[in-house]
Amino acid sequence: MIVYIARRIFTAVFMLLAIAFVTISLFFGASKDPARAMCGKPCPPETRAKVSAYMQTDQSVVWQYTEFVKGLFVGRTYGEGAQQVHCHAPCFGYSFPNRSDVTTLIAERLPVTLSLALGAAVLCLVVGIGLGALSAIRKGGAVDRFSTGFAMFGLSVPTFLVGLLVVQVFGFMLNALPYSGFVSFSESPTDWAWHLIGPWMVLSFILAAGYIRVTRTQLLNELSADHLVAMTARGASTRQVNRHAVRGVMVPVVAMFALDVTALLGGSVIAERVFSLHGLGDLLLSGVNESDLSIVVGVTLFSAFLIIVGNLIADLLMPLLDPRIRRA
Amino acid sequence: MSEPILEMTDVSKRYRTAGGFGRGRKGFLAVDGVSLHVERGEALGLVGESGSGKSTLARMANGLVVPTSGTVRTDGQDVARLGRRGLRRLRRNVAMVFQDPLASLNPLQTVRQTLENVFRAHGETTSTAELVALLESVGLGADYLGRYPHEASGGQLQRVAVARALALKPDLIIADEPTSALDVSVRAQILNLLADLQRDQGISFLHVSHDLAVIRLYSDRVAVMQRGRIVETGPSDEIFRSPQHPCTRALVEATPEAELPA
Amino acid sequence: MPDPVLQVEDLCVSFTSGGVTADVVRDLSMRLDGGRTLAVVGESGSGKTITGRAIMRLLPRGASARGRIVVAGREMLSADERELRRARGSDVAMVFQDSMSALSPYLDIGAHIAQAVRLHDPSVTRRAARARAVEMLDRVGIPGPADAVRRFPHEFSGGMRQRAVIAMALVNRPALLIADEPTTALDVTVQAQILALLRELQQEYGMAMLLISHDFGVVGSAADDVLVLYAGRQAEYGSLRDIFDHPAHPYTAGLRAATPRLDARLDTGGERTRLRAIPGAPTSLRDAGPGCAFAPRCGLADQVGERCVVEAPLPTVRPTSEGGGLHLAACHLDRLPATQEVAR
Repeated sequence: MIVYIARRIFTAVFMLLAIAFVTISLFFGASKDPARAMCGKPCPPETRAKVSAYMQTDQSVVWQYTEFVKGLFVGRTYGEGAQQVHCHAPCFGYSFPNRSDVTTLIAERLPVTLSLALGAAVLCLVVGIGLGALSAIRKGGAVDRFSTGFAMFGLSVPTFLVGLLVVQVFGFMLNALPYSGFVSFSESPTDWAWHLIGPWMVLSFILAAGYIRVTRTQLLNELSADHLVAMTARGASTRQVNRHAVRGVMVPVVAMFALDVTALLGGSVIAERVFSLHGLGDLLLSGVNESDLSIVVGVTLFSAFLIIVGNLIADLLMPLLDPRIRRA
Repeated sequence: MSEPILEMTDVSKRYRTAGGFGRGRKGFLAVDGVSLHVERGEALGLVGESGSGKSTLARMANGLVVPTSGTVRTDGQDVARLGRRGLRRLRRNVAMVFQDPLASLNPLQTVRQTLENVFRAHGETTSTAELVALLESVGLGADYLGRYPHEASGGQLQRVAVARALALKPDLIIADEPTSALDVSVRAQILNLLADLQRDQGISFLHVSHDLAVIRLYSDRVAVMQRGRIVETGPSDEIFRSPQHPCTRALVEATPEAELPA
Repeated sequence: MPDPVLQVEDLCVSFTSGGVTADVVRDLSMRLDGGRTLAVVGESGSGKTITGRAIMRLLPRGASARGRIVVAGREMLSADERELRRARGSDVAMVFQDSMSALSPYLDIGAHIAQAVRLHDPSVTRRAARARAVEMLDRVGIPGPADAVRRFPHEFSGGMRQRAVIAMALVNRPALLIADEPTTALDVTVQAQILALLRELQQEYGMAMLLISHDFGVVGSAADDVLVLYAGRQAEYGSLRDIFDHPAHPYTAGLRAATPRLDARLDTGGERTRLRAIPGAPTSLRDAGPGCAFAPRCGLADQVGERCVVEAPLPTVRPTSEGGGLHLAACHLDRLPATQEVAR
């Protein structure tokens, strides 16, 4: 087991380094020099060269990559003398337009994204598994037909449309919910939740579709499985049998959930935009709009990090849920 | 006497176990130094329990499994030395019939398409008359040409699978548990069909089965496998009348008879 | 005469799908006493598995049973959910063909057996139930039972797993055991061991066994009486001797002739013996016409004529050999011709 964990962690670290390399070569190697945006107008070639050197974007991709990885552990220093800025470890890069290191920017935005992601994840899990289980138990019934339609709709409708609809209906027409803004949890938990209900609804609606489908098919498979027939044959009640059937549903749901939660934690660009929330998705978008490549690379790598860690946790959880995956 | 259709000399197959480095690097020895031959026109029965390596051994005959060591000579050619083209030529001469006919036939193709594909794969064309004759040789009517696998019963599908094997007039047919998935009353039909092909067309058979009674009736010679080795070979009448090896004896004794104790 | 452990009268099982109801088993009757084994023999579509499930009221969705089923004095078809739970696993237990899928992959072997104990006697502590599991695993011949209870199904070989399933089925000493193809998935040597174990435990516990099988070999070495099913109906019923030596139904005779045998009687000195195959494929009640379902495959139907096609034969009493009990066959022919030319 320890060997297994060690191997998984080793692979995860290797993956992260590889992703960092690809991201950096893609953005710093292939797009236009971010120094151009910083140098102002007009921008004589000498000034631009100076800015470029200051931002360290004039170096080769390999050099930038090694500096970046080094920065993660020991921090990184740009420029010298009076213009010197230091980016503390773990340094995900420095955003010159914001005059702040990317780590700080991410940390500022994280509470918003965290609130959004966790609430949406819990809601979609409850709705998805609940509807999926009900439709499997009463296959062909009213709930089944409703949730199949619900899932189809959720899978096919784009996020922004659902978002705009929610804002329009609950925000403007019914005046029931606030349609923008964020209140931190420590300030007022009720206001926090109140402001987030809209985006939670939107995100969980989109995500729940997958859980409905997986739960329904998996539970249907389980319910007709021989070992549950055998359990009934031992004298177990329908309730006990159904409860045991849930075990078989957990494995694929956990795998899917780990992916979804980590993707949500990486920021949801569209939902944040629609509800004017300043989370990681919004940060990424501003980075793109202002050609602030440090932010783009930093947020991308942060999301990749979350996804890999999420998967790692899911992989380590699996053997606990299903003994067949356990290693000797 | 002419050369045997199949001759295996000291073949072994080691499978590497999944899970990469460290554990189980030695792998699993499925076939362990086996020598065996099938004469032309002969039916050789290969019996053994699950995991004895009989299927792995049979699949070496047409290069589906590459032996770790040893030589396989099929129809006089060293299988290991055949290139991709050579293997293709070999495989038109060595056909296979599998256990589950439904799984071995493409569910999206009609019987006609399935059969035509065999010819096409070897760059040949065929006529409807030929296909009908082929189906008739396995006891099926022309109306089966338009059917899909789900429109036929297990026994009929296994006949189609035999027809597919016969399409290119092979000299050797490897039949891997060809009747295990069939109903008792249908099993005999297929076994009789295979026996007719051997008698009338002189096709050699390597018949793999776990069922001793089937092998006894439908093989000239028998090879008994246990844990990757052949423990006993001989004419089937002799082997089953007076089994020598303890493994063969155990198998014979364990086989339940549809007979009352006298 | 003591009350039978299992009594089935005029059992019909039907499936409803898309508003259409069709019988898959019709007018089945049987009777089984304690300590005896009744083999139910049939091919695909015969309804043998569904009959076993009907007895435990374990029918899949869309299926329903009519008639009368009495297990150890309990009317199964009219029993409510509570009564059924009490009967299942205690009066009547089941051994399945595929031991891998019959065991939950998420529970260790001990948990399965302990569950069977505690479901019927909640007063037993978890610990005591696990101790019963160890005892039971020891009884069915699993080496190192104290260690084996903690193992998961996938860690066992097929034979050991089937032993565990038997331990689980028998832990509450049921009066009736339904064994549905208990050895089909196993190698012959293991099959012989499992059959021997079942016989031994049957004698020890005095239970009745309903052995569902397609294999006359297994039936011959385990059964006292045999019920041959074809397309959901009873083709023939009789003692093992009557069924094997004096079959009265062309299907029974044909099935026997199509079963390969290893014994010396087939020694023909060089010339190869061939099996006599039954032409065509087995059918189900749903696809059968109004007449005898076997008629299209029967070599003797011509001798009877039209009657076979228009009228389904009812089981009638046939002569029995010495010491044989009831012998029934559902065929319009009173007597099979001496030559066994039953198949076309």
